[in-house]
Amino acid sequence: MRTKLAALAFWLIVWHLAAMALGHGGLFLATPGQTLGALAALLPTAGFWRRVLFTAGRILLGFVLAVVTGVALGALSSRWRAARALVEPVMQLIRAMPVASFVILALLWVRSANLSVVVSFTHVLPVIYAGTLTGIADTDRQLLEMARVYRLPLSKTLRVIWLPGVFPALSESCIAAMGMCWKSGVSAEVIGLPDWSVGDALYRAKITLATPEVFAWTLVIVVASALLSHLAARGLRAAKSRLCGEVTA
Amino acid sequence: MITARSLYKSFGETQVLRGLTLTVNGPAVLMGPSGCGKTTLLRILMGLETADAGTVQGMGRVAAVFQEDRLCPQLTAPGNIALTGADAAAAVRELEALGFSPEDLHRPAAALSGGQRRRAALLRALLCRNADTLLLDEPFTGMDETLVEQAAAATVRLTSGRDALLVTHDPRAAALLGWPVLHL
Repeated sequence: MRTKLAALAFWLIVWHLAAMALGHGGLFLATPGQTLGALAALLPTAGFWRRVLFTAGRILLGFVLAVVTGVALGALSSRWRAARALVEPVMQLIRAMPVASFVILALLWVRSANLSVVVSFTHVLPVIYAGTLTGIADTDRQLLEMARVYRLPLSKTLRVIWLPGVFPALSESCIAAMGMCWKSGVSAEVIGLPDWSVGDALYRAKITLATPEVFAWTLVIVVASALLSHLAARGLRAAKSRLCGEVTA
Repeated sequence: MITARSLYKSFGETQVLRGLTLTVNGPAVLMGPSGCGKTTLLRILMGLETADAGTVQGMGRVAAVFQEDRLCPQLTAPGNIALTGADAAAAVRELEALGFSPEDLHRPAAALSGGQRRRAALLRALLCRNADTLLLDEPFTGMDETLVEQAAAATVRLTSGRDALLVTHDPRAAALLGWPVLHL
């Protein structure tokens, strides 16, 4: 813990010295103090919270839709080769596509307010899909044979064999995807500029040369992403131990 | 009654079963040298392998002890046994009779010793109420002499009238069971 704090302090000092060296009152690089000051000015405003909730809600919606779809497509693809042959090229295409290209195309299909839902969904989908495939491949074949011999009902097999088998890889992909959701979702908002979004605020701060505010919004995105990833990890762990009937030694 | 007729099975170039014919009516012990196809025969009877030729008749619902324990590692021993429809109270009673302490009963299978896992796997098969055929592959592995005696007694008692085929290398275990011995 002490080492982590020392490392944090080191980088804050480096950041501060770099900002001081560039000068111009933080126009090119805001100092940590200016960033925290801008954040302190934003926090008590209703507009700040409205933007955070607007963006978080849409990003979370995109994430949940991606988890549901990714798990379903992963299950279908590992069961039927034909399904995999159909789905794989789409996933590869999405993985290779830059966020900006996708946003411009998506703007033709959906309102800018829903852009972050679509973009976070599409960018997270291949990660969840891959996690599901890995999890299914990792599931204990010997236990599945046991379930087959004993003719365990599907509900029990899902709960005590598939879920614990798929969970580690799926959980890791969900946690990684949560961070990606924020990056792609806010990037989409910066291009699509939906009213009352974090991306819109970031863009406005940039064009008005309010660099400390740009840094403050960036800090908000980083913290929100880390917080939701942490909550997702905790929630998934709790869900697993509840659903799989886990006991501890 | 289980009847296997003229079973053939090869894995690549290796022929494991060559026209095996076998009838099991009630419980029986199957003995034979390593690699003679005992486990392959059990896997065919379980429906996990398909014979290259030959027929199997009379297989009802199966409960099995596999070469490996195949317990769900996150569940307790009684939890694993109850999973297949066994009575939970009977599971606890039989586990205690085979040396499980109250603490052992609450441990996940992953934290049990090899011998304890084997006993739990054996009781999972024996206590499976829906099964009318028991296929037990070396069920006493990893148990000391006293435990083998207790486990063999429990196996005889709980098999009660069902068809059973128990594979073992151990002539003493076969003698303890007192069942007809088939040689492969």
